[in-house]
Amino acid sequence: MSKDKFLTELEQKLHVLNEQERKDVLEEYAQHIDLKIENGQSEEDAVSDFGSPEALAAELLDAYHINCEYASAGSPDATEKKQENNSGIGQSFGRTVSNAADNMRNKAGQAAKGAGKAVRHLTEGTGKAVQNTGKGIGRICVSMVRMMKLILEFLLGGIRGCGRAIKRLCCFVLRRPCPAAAGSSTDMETEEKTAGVKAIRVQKDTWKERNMQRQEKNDEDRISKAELRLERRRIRNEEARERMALIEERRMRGEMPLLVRGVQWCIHVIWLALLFSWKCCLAMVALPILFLGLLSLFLAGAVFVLLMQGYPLAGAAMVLVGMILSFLGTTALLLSWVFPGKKDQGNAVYAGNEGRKSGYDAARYNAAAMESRYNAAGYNNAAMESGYYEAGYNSETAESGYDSVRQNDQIIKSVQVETAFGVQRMAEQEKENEMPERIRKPEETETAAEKKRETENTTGMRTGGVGGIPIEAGLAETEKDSAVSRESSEDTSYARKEATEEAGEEAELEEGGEPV
Amino acid sequence: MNPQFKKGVLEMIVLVAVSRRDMYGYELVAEVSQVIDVNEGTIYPLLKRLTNEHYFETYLRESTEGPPRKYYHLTAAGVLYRDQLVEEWNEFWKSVNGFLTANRREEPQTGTKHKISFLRERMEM
Repeated sequence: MSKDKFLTELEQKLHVLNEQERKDVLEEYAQHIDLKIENGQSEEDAVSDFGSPEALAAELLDAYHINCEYASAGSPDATEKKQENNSGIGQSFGRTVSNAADNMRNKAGQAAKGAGKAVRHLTEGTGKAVQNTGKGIGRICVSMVRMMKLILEFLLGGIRGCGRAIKRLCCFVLRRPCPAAAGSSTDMETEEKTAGVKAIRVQKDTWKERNMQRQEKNDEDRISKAELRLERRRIRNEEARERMALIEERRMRGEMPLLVRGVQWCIHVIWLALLFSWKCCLAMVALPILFLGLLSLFLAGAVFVLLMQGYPLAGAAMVLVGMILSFLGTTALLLSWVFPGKKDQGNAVYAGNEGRKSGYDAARYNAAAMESRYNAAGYNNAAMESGYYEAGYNSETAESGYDSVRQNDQIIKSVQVETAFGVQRMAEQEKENEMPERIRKPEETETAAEKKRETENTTGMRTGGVGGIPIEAGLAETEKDSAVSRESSEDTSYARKEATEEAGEEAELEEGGEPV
Repeated sequence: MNPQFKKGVLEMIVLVAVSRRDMYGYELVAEVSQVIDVNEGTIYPLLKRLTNEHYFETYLRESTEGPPRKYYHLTAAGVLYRDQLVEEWNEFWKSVNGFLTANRREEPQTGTKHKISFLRERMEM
C-alpha cells in the first residue's frame, strides 16, 4: 500500500474525530513514515509495518472510548470524544477537575497555536511567493541575458567575418599581399583575441567562482531538495560554460559551430555575388573601351599612311597614338581586376587549408590526449593490479612470516627439548626428591601426558624413549636451568639439593597454575 | 515472544522511556524496539490513549529536518501511574520467578501432611 492510500484510508475511518485531532494523528503517521523512508526503508515496508488501517483505526478510536461500530456506521454527527473513565470515584473526581483544567488549557493553547500557525503559514506563504517570483524573474533575466549573449556572438562572428572579407577586398584592390600569409596574421590576431577573451573569461570564472562559493554557503542552510536543485543548475551552468569554451577553441582553430558557420556561409555567398557583379560591371566597362582602343589603333594606322603620303595629319596621328595607349591601358587595368592573379586566391585558399589542417591537428591532439588518458587508465589498472600483486605478495610474506614463526616455535621447542635432555641428568638426582611429591598430586600426571603429547606432535622425534616426567621437568624448569646451572657451578651438593628442592616446589606451583 | 507478555508490559515500558527523556513517536518506537519487538502500529494508539487520559502531554518542537515534531512529556499523573505499574510488575515478577525457581518436584500427597507441606511452601515463598 502506498503512503497516500494508507493515510486516506485512515482518514476515512477516523471521520468521527474532529478535524484537529484527525489532522494531528495523520500528521504524526505521515512524519513517522517519512522518517522511516529517510532511514532507508521503502515506502511499502514502512506502511506495512503499521498493519492494516482498520485495526489501527479501531485502536485509535478505542483510545477516545468511541464505539468503533458507531464510527463505521458512518454517522457524521460529532459525538462526545472524551467520556469519563469510571475507575474509582476519587480518581474520577480528580480526573474531572484536571480534565476540565486541561481542556481549557488545551483549547486555549490550541487556539493560540492555531493562530500562530496561521500567521506563520501566511508569512511563510507570502515570503515564499515573493521568493519564487524573484527567482522566476531572475531565471527569466538569466535566460534573456544568455539569449542576448548568443545573438551578440553571432553578430560579432558575422561582423568579424565581414571585417576579414573587407580586409581581403582591400588587399585585393590595392594589389598588396596581405601582411604575411593570411593564416599567420589571423592566427596572431585570434591568439591575441582569445588571450583577451580568456582573460575576460578568467575574470568571469573567478567572479562566478566567488558567486558559486556564496551560493554554496547558502545551500548549506537550505533543505536537501533545494540543494539538489541548485546542484543541477550549477552543473548545467558548468556544462554551458564548457560548451562556450569548446566553441571558443574551435573558433581559434578555424572551425565554427554549425549555426555560426551557416551564417558565415550566407555572408560568403553574398560577398561572392557582390564580387561577381562588380567584375561584370568592370567587364562591361572594359569591352567598349577595348573596342575604342582597337578602333583608335586602326585609325592611327590609316592616319600614319596618309601622313606618309604627305597629308598634314601629324596632330591627329599623335592624338590617335595617345588614344591607343590610354584605351588599351585602361582595358588591361580593368581586365586585371576582373581576373585577379592566382597568388591572392592561393593565399585565401591556403589560409583555409591551414585552418582545416590545424583543426585536424587539434583533433589528432585530442585523440592523442584521449589515448594518453586511456593509457593513464591502463596504467592505473596496472597499478591496481600491481597493488593486488603486492597484496598477494604481502599475504605470501605474511604466510611465510607465519611459517617462520612456526619454525621459530619449533626451534624453541626443540631447544627446550634439548635443554631438557641436557638437564635430564641433573634432574635424575632431583627425580627422587620430586617423585614422592609428584605422587601426592595426581592431576599433574595428566598435564605431563599432555605436555609429552605436545612435544611429540611439534618435534616428532626422539621423545619416545624418554620418560614423560623428566621431559616435563625439563620443560617446566627451562627457566630454572640457568639458575640451577649457575648455582651448580658454585654451590656444594647440599646447597644445590636445597635449591633444587625449592625449584621443585616452585615448579610444582607453576605446573599447578599454568598449562603449557 | 508471547504477545500477551508484550501487551502487558508495553504501557509500562513506554511510560518509563518517556519519563527518562521527552521523545517523539519515531524515537519512542526505536527505544521500545530495543527492549521488546513491538508492532509500530500499536504504539500510536497507545500514546493517544495515554495522552487522552492525561498521563502524557504533548508539545511541538521545531526540527532541523522536516516539519516540527510532536514530543511527549510525562505529567504528574503519569509519574504516579508509572510508579504504580512498576511496583505491580516487580511483585508479579518476584512471585512468578519464585515459583519457577522452586526446584522441588511436587508429589501428589493426601491428607494433613499434604496440607501442611503446601502451607509451608506458601509461607516460604
